Amino acid sequence: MNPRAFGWFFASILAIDLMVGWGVSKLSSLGAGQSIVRFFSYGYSLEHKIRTAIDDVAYPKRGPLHAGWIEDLSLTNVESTSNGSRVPVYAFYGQSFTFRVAKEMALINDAAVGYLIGAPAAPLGHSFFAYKKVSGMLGVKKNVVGILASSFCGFSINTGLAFSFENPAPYTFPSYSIGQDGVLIEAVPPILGEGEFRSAFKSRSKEWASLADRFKYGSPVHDDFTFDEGYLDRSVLVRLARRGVVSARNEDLKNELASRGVPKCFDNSAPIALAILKEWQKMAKDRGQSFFVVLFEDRGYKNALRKSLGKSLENSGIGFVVTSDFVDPSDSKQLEADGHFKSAGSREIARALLKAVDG
Amino acid sequence: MNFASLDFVYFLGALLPIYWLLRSWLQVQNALLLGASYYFYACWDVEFLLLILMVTGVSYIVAQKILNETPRRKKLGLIFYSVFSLVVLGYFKYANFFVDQLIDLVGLFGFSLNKIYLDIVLPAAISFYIFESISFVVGSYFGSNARRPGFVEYSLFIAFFPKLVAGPIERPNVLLPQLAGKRSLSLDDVGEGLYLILLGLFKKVAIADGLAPMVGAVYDSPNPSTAAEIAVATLAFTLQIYGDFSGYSDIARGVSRWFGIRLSLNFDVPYTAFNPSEFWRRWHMSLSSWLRDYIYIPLGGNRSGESVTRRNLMATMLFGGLWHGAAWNFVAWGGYQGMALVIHRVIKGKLDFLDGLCGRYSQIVLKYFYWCVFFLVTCYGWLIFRASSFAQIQSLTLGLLNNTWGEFSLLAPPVSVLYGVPVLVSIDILHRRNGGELFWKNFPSVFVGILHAVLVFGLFLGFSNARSSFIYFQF
Repeated sequence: MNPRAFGWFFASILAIDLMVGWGVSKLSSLGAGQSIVRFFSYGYSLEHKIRTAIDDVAYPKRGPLHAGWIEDLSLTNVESTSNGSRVPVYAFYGQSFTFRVAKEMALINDAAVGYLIGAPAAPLGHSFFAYKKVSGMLGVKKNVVGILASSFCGFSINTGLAFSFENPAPYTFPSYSIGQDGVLIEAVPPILGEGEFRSAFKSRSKEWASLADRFKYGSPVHDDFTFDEGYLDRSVLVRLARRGVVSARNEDLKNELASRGVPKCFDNSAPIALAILKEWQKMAKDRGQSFFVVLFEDRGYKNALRKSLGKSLENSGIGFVVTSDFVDPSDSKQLEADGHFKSAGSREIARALLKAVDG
Repeated sequence: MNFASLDFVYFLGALLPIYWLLRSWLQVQNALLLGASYYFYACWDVEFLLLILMVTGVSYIVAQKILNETPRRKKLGLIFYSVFSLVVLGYFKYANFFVDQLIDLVGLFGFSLNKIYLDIVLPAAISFYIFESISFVVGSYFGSNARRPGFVEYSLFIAFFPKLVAGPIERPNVLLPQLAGKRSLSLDDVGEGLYLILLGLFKKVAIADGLAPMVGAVYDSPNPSTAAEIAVATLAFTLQIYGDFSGYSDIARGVSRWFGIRLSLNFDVPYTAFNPSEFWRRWHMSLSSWLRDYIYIPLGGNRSGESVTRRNLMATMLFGGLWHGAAWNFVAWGGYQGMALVIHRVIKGKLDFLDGLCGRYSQIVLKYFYWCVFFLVTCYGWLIFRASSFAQIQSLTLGLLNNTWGEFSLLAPPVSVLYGVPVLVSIDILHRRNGGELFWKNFPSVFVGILHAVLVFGLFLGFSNARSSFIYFQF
C-alpha cells in the first residue's frame, strides 16, 4: 500500500465511522431500525449507559436500571406468579431463569405460586442477602434459589454491572469471602437502594467512586476502557472494539479451565457458595422453612455447576436440581436467542422441582 | 497461540525486529526463526515437540543417506521412510479408528472383542509436516530436490510457524531455496503481507466465526432439523469452511511475507469454479497437488486408459478424504469428490458439445447454470464432511428431502456475516477477473484505501462473535 493509499485508508475508516455513527443516531431519533441501533449501542461504556438510562425520561418501568435493589423491596412492589386468587407459598430467589421456571410451576399447579425476588443475572450473593432482608416480610415456608452458572464467579464483586455489559443493571449486593476461621464474611456496599444510587451517580459522590473503583479493579473483565465515559464513546469503531474486548475477556474466563473441566474461577467460588448455602439452609430450618436449590447451567456451562457443587450439596443434605438433566445448554435449539431456555425446557425443570420440593 | 489473538501480535512484534536485525547473518536468522517456530508449536502441543523433532531428524537422515546410494539401497531407504512416516501418522491419527472397525467387523461374525480404547491424542500439524517430509525424501530419491539443505534449514522447512499448523503443505523446491538465501523486505512485501493478513482475519473473524453458531445449531444438535434449517446451515458451513481455511492460509502467507518468504497460494477463489476439476485446482491447492504428484501420478494418472484413470481418481480422492480424519464421513466425502470428478470426465464431452450448439448469450446462461449446479454439488459435499457420522449424513439427507421447508427456527446470522459475505463475494469476483489476489494493485489509491477500510470495518463488526478455533487444526 503506497502512502497515498494509506491516506485514503485513514480517510475512509474515519468516514465509515462518522457515517455509521450518523446513520445510527438518525435511526434512533426516528425510532426505526431498533435492532441495528442496539447493535451499535452495545459497546458504549458502562458509565455512558447508566447515565443515558438515568437521564431518559421514557426509560421503561421494568428496565435493568430499576431491577434488583434489595433495599427497595417491599410487599407492595415484589412480583409474584399469583394472579391474585392464590396466596404465594414459595419465594423464588435468583434471576430470569429462575422466574421462568417459577411461572411454569404456577401453570402446572396453580397452588404453586410464589414471590419473585431477584435481578438480571443475580448471583448467589444477591439472593442470599435478599433472603435475609425480606424473608420475614414475605411469610412463606418454601424457598427456592436459582444459581446461574454464568454469574457464579465473582463473589468479590458487589454489583450487577459485572454480568451484562450490553444492558447493565447496576443493582448492588454484598461481596462474600471466607475468613481464616472458616466463617463467612459479608461486606455490604455503601449503596443498596436505587434512589441512593441515582443521587450518588449524579453527584459522583465518594460512595459512587468507591463502588466504581472497586468494580473496575476487582473485575477480571472490566477496566477504565470498558467503564469510563468519554470521547471514545462517540466512535462506532471504538464501541465495536469495546464490546469485542468484553466478549473476549468473558470467553477467556470461561475457557480457562481447571483440571476437572470447569472454569478455574468456579473452583474459587464453590467454597464460598457452599458456605452461603449451608448458612441459608440453617436459617431456613430455624424459621421452619424448606430450602431448595436449582443449578442453572446456561450456555457454555454444561455440568459445570454439577461438578463444582453437586457432591457437596448432596453431602450437606441440601436438595437440588441440575438443569442439564432437562435442557442441554450446548444445543442451541433448546435455547432462545438471548440464551434463556425455551419454555418446554423450563417446564421440564418446573415439573422436576415440584416433584422434588413437594414429594 | 491463535493467529487471531493478542498473544500472536506480541509474539510477532517481538520476533520481527530481531529477525531483521539479524539479516546479515543468515544462519543465525534461520536459527532464530526455527526457535520461534518450535516455541509457536509448543504453545499448541509441547508434549509433541519431540515427535516433530523425531520426524524431522529421521527424514533428514534418510534423505541424506539415499542421495548417493545404489538404486537398491535408495529404494530401501524410500520404502523405510514411507513406512515409518505412515506408521507414525497412522498410529496417532487412525489407531482408534481401526480398532473400532476391527471390533465392529469381528462383531459381524458374532464374536466380541473387549473394547480396547487407546488414549491417543492427535498431535497438532502432524498431517501437514508428515506430507512435507515425504516430499523431501521422495525428492531426494529422485534427485529432484534443487539443493541439499543443512539440518537447521531443513528443520525450518518442516517447522516454519506460519504454515506449520494448517498449511499450505510446502514443497522443498519452493521453500528451501528461500530459506537458503538472504531475504529482503520491500514496502511491497509489507503492503501485500498486510493485505493478506487483513483479508484472512476478515474471513475468519467476521464470516467464519459469525457462521459457526448457525452451523452448530443443526450439525451439533441431537434434535431433528427442518429441510430449510439443514439447507441454510449447510450453506453456512460452505462459507464457514472457506472463510476459516482460506483465511488461515491468507494470514500464514501474509505473515510469511513479513519475513521475506513467499508461501504457495493455497486457495484461488474456489467457489468461482464451474466444475470439479477446476475446483480441485483452486481448493486447498497444496494438498490437491501433493495428492496428484504422490498418489495419482504414481498410480498411473491418466496414462492407462479411461477406466484406470477413473480408478486412480477415486483412489486419490478416497485417500484425500481419509487424510482429513479417522472417520467414515471423511472417506465418504473423498469418495463423493472422486465421483464428482469421474462424472465430470464422463459428461464433459457432452457438455462441450452442448456449448457448441448454443449462441453466445446461451453459452453464458449455460455456464452460470453449470456454476449453480456445481455449487450445489459442492455444498452437499460439505454436508457429508461436516456430519459426525454416516447416520447423521443419512438423517440430514433425508431431512432435506422429506422435511418441511416452511419451518425455520435458526437465529439470524450476525451483522458481521450480513456485511461480510457480499464484501467477500465482491472481492473474489474481482480476484478472478483482475489477475489474482493482488488485483487491487492495478486500481487507484483511493480504491485501495477504501478496500482496506472496508475489511477493517468488517473485522470490527466481527469482534464480538464468539471465537472458534480454525477448523483445519483438527487435521
